[in-house]
Amino acid sequence: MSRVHVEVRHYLARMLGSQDLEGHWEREIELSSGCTVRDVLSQLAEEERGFSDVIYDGERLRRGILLLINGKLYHWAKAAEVELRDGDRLSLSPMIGGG
Amino acid sequence: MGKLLWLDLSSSQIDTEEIAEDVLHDYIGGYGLGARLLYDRIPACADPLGPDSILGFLTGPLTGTTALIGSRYVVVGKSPKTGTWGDANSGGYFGPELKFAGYDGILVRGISPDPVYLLIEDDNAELRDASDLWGMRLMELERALRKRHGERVRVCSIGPAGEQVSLLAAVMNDYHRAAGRSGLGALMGSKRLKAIVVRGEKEVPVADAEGLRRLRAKYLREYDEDAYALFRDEGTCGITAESAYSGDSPVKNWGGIGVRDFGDDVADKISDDSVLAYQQRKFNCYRCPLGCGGVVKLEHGPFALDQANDYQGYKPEYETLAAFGSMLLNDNLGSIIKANEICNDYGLDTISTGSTVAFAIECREQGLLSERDVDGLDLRWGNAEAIVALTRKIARREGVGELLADGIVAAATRIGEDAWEYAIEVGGEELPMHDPRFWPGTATAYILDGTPGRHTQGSEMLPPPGLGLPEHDKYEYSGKAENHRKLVNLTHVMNSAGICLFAYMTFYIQSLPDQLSAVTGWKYSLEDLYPIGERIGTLRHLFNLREGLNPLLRRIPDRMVGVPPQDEGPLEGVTVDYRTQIREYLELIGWDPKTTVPSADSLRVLGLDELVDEAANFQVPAAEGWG
Repeated sequence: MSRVHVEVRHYLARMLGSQDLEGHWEREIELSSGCTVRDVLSQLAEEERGFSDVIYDGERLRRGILLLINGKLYHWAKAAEVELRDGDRLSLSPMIGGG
Repeated sequence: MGKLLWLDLSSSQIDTEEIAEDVLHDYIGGYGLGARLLYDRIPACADPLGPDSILGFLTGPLTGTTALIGSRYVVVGKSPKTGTWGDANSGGYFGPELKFAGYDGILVRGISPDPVYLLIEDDNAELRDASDLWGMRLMELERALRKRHGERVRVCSIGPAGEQVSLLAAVMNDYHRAAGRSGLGALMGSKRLKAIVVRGEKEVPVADAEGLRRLRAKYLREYDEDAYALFRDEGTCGITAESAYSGDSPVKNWGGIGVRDFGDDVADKISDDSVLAYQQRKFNCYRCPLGCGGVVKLEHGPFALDQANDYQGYKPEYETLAAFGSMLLNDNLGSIIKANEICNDYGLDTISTGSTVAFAIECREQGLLSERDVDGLDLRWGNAEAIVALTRKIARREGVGELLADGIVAAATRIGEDAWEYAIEVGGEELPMHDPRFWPGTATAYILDGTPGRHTQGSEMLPPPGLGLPEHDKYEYSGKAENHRKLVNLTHVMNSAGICLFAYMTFYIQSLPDQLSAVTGWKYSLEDLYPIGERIGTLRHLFNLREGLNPLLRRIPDRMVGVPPQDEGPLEGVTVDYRTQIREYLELIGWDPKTTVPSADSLRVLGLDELVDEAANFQVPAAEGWG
């Protein structure tokens, strides 16, 4: 088994019920080896209240969400099938404005 | 600190001025210092293109230091486009180089009879004839000036658009960085100042250099990981597709809906990996660890870049991708890269130029412009060839370009009453690529800020990490004034300090007072910065009130605020109650609900006592329906 750390940030975290002002919502997910980002998000969508409404609709990330794997930016098309390893970190936050 | 160079172009006289320490402490630098200096020195109601008008190029105390990220300078003046206070900010290397020459800024008044440029080599500053440079585009110009004065000079200049006093003109530096907004390229052109060439060898004074280095190391460990990754890995092009789908980007001249009109992954064609496929290398501004910029190459096809530049240009920013992409239903990335090159090379603001093209397309669609009016161009949504051709015409003021080269307001005025429905601007400024129906707080900034229609002013769209503002639903219009006030005031300080907005969005906010303290030797806490920001914002506002301009009387396009609301998509049903937002904010900061004139108490608490009587006598028309 491997463990993946999932963090949801900013107002998305608050939409999942976090009371943290800076917005942190964290979970440790246990997975069998070879699991993908899609598998992790699917599991969370089944287990966590609100997750499918806010983050993952069952097929893809909801629009306007930044996804990082171990601090590196991935867009959904590339991220979905990335296989995760023990200790990997998945971060989900609202898309940034500006620029 | 605090040494300014004064240039009077009418008399060719060059002087220096030392700024008093208390002014530097209270106004920081950048446009804060600019507002203080120009409020006192530009006569009320001066012609922005006349000899009394002053154009400033001002750094901040953090510019050219090891601070995160001290790459910026600000161009300031009375905007010939909006008639208000004007400023525009740019990165690259010009600002730091000005500091290395020993100057915190340059102020220019008067009008030169002939084209000139200013050459600064440390303590030597002189005016040079620019007759042979007049008419040159940016790439050619910078190459010529580097050949003449050495590869290590830094150049700030205007292209042909600025020379022709186009109100879409930007002030440019380092080949492609733009101080784009407020039409300040036109102001520089009106003075016949083609360029400023600077080279310096001095060390930038820092009160606690070792402390500043420690702070850099500390904050390079404490940052918002998402923002850092986005700017480092992709730059702003990384948000283009998601912004189109989420509703942040305006679509089809603000009349469309991203998921309907630019959906089914169409926006992916002009976003992130699609753009990065053209990138040859990253571009970092001065001492920037992020490097959000890039050099692109486009060698083949109808939109190949200029052969003289080895087919290379610069990576379009999000604002450019949206203005020439979703706004025009244009998914041809090559054409956007080409339009970006034209804007950079002629010295045009890409936001305003793309928006003006969108306006023209809709006027053509609605029959307000004939095929003949648009020089026979097949001007319609998504026609990449026509979009690029029109951009070139605007840059050269050729044919229909003459109608459009001063932006939407000038064009709508000439086309006629029916065109105003499609004129998406506030106060004369074409709106940026962030939709208040998605970020309602931006409506307050677009309407109320000293420079109308600006996304880089404070709002709920731009919270710095570590501020920890109380949670507030963005569509709950009441009760958000306290948050807005903090964000506005910190943004004013950030824009005055000489750091980059993306540093502000990436590094913990405590880095701002910490770095300011290390550089200046004055002790600033985060709490200290709020009244300083409010003082700066208030003075920019007073500059406009003195002109008799009430921001509440600015025309507000229906589409900007969802009148009527969209009937599908992520913004379905949204009508922005900007009046509640603004009314509560005005009440909080002590500005009159109808005239926006600050109360005597609100001025005194900011140390602006000397302006109390003057402000009470401003002739500002009242706005009805806001109280």
